[in-house]
Amino acid sequence: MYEIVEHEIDVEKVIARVSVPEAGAVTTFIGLTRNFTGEMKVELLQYEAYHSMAIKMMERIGLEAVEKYDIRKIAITHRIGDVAVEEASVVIAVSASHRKPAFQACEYAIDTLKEIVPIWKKESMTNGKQKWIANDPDLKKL
Amino acid sequence: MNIRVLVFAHLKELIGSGTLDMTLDDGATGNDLLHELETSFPQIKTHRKYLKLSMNGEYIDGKTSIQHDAEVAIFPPVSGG
Repeated sequence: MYEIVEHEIDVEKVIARVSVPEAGAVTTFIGLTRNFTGEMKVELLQYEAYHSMAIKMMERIGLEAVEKYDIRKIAITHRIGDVAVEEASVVIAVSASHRKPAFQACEYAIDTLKEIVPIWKKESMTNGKQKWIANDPDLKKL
Repeated sequence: MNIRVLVFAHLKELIGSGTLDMTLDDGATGNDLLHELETSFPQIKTHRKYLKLSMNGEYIDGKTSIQHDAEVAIFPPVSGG
């Protein structure tokens, strides 16, 4: 249910993992590489993971999501390596009997992933510059 | 005690390696580890207060004692997603 891959994410496969007969709703979140950061044109993002801890933290997010919301299943796939503009870096799928908890759990999962899962990204700009990014808006870009 | 420390992302680039073999006093804490790292690699000084520590895949704070056989990692704030 939780994986880190080095290739393009197959969104349908992630959705298939949460499929259960009881589900009346599946929500998904797909995080993509966007083409601009402010005025700077982005070529790609390079992701790096502390693999074993990242999986552990994703499992924790899944367990917490099931405890907090009335959902059936959750799956999280994060890609590492180079992720070009318009390509997905993360896909989350949640199944539930009803749509509301499915939406809420999906938002909870991506918000928490961005806080605790040890994965990092570096922006590569079209002008050749590179910069490591911090998700926390209070932190300067390190 | 001798420990192997994993480092990631920007910190790995600053240090020039993804693993470090370090020697700490028995009972040393996370803060002691960061102090030792900063002594060996002064270039990380401006980043030190942002750095995160983990032991056996769990976040720890600076007051936690480092176990000699644990997997210890130091890394910058995460930016996945």
